Amino acid sequence: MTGATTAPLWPHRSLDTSGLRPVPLRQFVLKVHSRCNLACAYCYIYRGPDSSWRERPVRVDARTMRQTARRVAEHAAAHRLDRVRIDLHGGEPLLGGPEPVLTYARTVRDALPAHCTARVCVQTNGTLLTERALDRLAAADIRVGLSLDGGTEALNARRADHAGRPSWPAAARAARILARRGEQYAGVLCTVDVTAPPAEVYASLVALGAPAIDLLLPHANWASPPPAVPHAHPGRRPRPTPYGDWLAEVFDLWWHADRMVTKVRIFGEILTLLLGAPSATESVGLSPMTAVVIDTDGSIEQVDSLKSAYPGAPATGLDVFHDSFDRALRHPGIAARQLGRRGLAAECRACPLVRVCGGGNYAHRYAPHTGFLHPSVYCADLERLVRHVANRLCEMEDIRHCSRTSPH
Amino acid sequence: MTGTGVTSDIPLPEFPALAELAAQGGGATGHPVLDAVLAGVRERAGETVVAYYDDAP
Repeated sequence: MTGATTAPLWPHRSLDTSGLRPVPLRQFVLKVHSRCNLACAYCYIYRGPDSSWRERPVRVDARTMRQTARRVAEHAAAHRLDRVRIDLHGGEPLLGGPEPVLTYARTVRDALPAHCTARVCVQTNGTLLTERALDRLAAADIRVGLSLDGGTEALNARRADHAGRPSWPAAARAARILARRGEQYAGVLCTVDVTAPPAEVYASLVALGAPAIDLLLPHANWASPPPAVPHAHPGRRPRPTPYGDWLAEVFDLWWHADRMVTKVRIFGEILTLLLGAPSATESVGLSPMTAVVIDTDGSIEQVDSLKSAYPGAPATGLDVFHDSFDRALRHPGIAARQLGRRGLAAECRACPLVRVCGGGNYAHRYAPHTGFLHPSVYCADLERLVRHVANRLCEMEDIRHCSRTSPH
Repeated sequence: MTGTGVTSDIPLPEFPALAELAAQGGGATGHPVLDAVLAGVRERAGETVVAYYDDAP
């Protein structure tokens, strides 16, 4: 098992988890295959600082599947969970064909107690999807999410295979097939590229017929800032906001449509938070994070996005053969993400946006040595977007109750 | 197109009228996207809501 090489001050060396009351895990991200047939230019797994994937088995084996299933079932039984989410991931999870995905899903479902059901999704680059594979996945009640950078070949230029060949022809075929599949199509995850025209990206994704989209900020932190953002010391301060501007432009296109053509998760979650309800995503809000990753060797890990921070960042030192998920809940890195406002930097706790922004994605708060007790490297972008959305919402609210939140 | 990235200490606004509509199930603003969001807010009320990993649909 791979251990953390540079445990930062927060939370690993300063959070005492012994007195905390953890929230049970609800989402299990199961690695089916640890390699990918694509070599995307911005990939945080294969091009980031963490190279632990090199030490993992290429494929998960039957013994690890069974033991993972036992641990998920044990957790569901202990906490009387009525449902869990199972997300089958890679690498590219379909690199070994649909059979391992089907087997893993069946193994987990068969192990679950009678009171618990599993919602199962596979997240894929789409290049290996066929009608036959989708039929088999549908028969097993497995939904499918696609990872794309947009809905055209040009927008997907960063997504190429190891020989530099574009992934788009195969991914586009998968998107067309999925668009006819109704409920089986879970949606598209799209990493924001601020050099791409936002209106073109959004319109092209809508044209793919995706029922839901999420627009993800590229994984970055204070040591490795996002493309188009200069280095700075951690903190909440005025900065250029290329990502906030980009997302605000897409928000307006989505908001002013004459019908809800597709859900956009980040926008829906910000609106929901502004209206006083909690979020169900890690990117905004203060809800407790309840996901873990189980790698192909049975290692229990925090989420993969932490691989963008430093080598070994997702590691817990635990594995399904020796450790329960209750034990994983005591890991400082997992516990810190269940603390809500108490787990944020002082600047964030004092910020007027905190109940909506929630400090942003945990991985984006990292700075070397001190760790994750900082505002997001996207702090200014998030403020730009949140205030923009709030202003649009003000237009719909009785003017007596609402004053605008910023000059944006 | 890039903004200046102003940070502000102005509090976020409250939306009591829209929150009330959400509590009633939404669907009455005439704004199709907002109506869909309001319906979702109501579904979430009273639930134990947890956060899920972004890299999953």
